[in-house]
Amino acid sequence: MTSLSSYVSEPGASRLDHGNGHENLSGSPQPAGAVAGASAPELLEQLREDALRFLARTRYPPRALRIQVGDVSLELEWQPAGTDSSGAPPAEGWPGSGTGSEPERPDSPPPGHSLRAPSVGVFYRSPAPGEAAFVDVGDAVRAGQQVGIVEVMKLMIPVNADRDGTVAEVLKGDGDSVEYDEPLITLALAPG
Amino acid sequence: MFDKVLIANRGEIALRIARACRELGIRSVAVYSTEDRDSAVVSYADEAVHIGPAAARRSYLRIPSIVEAALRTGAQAVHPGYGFLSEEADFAQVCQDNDLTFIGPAPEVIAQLGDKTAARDLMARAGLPLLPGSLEPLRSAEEAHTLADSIGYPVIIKAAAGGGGRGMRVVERSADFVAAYRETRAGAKTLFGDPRVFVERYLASARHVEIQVLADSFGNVIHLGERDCSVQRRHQKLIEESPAPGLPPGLIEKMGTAAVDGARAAGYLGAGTFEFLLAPNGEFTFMEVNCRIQVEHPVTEMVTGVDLVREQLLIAAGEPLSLTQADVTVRGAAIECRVNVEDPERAFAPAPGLLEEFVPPGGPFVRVDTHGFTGYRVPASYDSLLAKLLVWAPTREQARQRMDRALEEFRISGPGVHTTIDFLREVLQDRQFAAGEHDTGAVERIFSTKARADHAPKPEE
Repeated sequence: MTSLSSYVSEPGASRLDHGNGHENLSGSPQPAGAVAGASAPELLEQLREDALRFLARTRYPPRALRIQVGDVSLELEWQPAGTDSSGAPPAEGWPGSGTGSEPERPDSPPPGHSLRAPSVGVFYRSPAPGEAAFVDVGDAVRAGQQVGIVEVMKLMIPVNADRDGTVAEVLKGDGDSVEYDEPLITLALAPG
Repeated sequence: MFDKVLIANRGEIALRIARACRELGIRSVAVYSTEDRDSAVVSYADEAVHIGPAAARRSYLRIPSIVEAALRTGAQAVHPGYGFLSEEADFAQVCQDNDLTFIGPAPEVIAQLGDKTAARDLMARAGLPLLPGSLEPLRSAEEAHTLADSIGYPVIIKAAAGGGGRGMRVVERSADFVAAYRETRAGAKTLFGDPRVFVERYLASARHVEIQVLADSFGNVIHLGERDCSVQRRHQKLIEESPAPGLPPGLIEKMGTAAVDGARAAGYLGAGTFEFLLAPNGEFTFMEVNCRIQVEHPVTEMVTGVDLVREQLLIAAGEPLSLTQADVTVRGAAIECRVNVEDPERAFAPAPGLLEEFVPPGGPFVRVDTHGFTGYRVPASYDSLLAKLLVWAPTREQARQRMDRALEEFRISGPGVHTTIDFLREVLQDRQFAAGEHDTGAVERIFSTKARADHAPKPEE
């Protein structure tokens, strides 16, 4: 497989088809430098690491990246071309975005819509101990849907989404103390 | 001693408590509403917890939020300040149930003294003099009316769950009584959730003299002298002083002893204030007990040298009082003026806003307790007290002049901001006040005199 480094480029400058923002990294069954006789999962693991290094050098977070070794593949996707070639700034916190190497400050909520604590108290992610969380990253939520609980003195206050969206990030852990109005969950809002 | 105390209050008193904590090496936790996020105590305290939006009932009055904040931050005790939850027996009980020391008396003591009828009854049995009035809950308008007639008019109808000058109505004539009784009950239900009222003789010209007490858990109860709080507008205090001017010798000892007896009878713990009315004939009668540190507590601190908030923390931590009755000496004279963001020209309407300029006075024996600072935006959601200005001097007249000097130096201004500073100076310069011969009718008199002067026809230019 051709070294991934030859594909490092700005979106739009890649040799591959990116009309729909889709880059397909595939190649010969055996990537350069792979240990002879390595199994498909091992190759995939190697590719995954290469892919991570590759992604660290790209300017925009991809929506999709597909890596295939034989029958095994790993796929990620970019936003549609119109979005990331429009000159919109790279997402904050994206490693390759060039906004600096410092990690996101914990007291500035990430972009997106914050669902906030309705009270000071303790945040719970699931209805009861041991049960599954109300929501996880990637889940779609509807307005009014419960996404957590804040407990105040044995009083359980539901935390509900007030908009439709997708859970982009969960900022506080199960059992964390939270203050009134503190951001708990970030939603990526449904477009439109 | 406590490691950590949560301050369940805001404004100037929260900062006052935080300072006492710092001096004792206690870590302080401030709680704040969204509108108070830039408040002085939030940056001063060792920790701060955002507990709710601006509305007091969703923040400073919300018991679960306050207790939760105390538990999560590991506070051992809660200081309720004054107002808000400081005299809520429920709050004291919830603190106790959660192994938090409530800095104040026990819940049952708060409940008994908070019911003004029950408090009157307890104090009567403890031997304190009372104005003629009801000692039991009144069961009907007719019963109340009969009692009022036997007391003699004017009478005052007061909410049993009230206090602090709220929920009261004066009745001058028997014919007006029943309507006033019903109105006061309705008002009490709205204000305090409890329509019960009691009836008492009303002294139109009297002096409000209160006694500061301290009681520890070892059975020590002392008094620290009096404060005269007669300068009031609509039962809200504006100027307080100690000693009370012109009292006959020995009267304060009698009142102090009565207060100590009353505190013992109630099983009191902590700092408390016994309010009395002083009639023109020199007789004093019990009014109510305030089971909290009071706004005007610094007046006593200035003349006795005792730090009352520090004593509260020590008492609550199970330590004995720092001094005995014999150690208490009252020296010189102290005056406090409450500087409110109100416009006296518009019936004292609240006038908060951004303080573009906030320069408090200084100099010898001047103390300012305030949460204000240049650039502070005074919120509209809470009471209008911005600063307490205090002075001490060897004599009352020197203190009066020093206070005028200090008020004149105090610069507070901003868009739409008004304060009561000029009005306070007028009261200080009033002939009756200067002579120490004023009473609770003084402010109305000064104000109406001023209003008449303002509206008098002006001479031709």
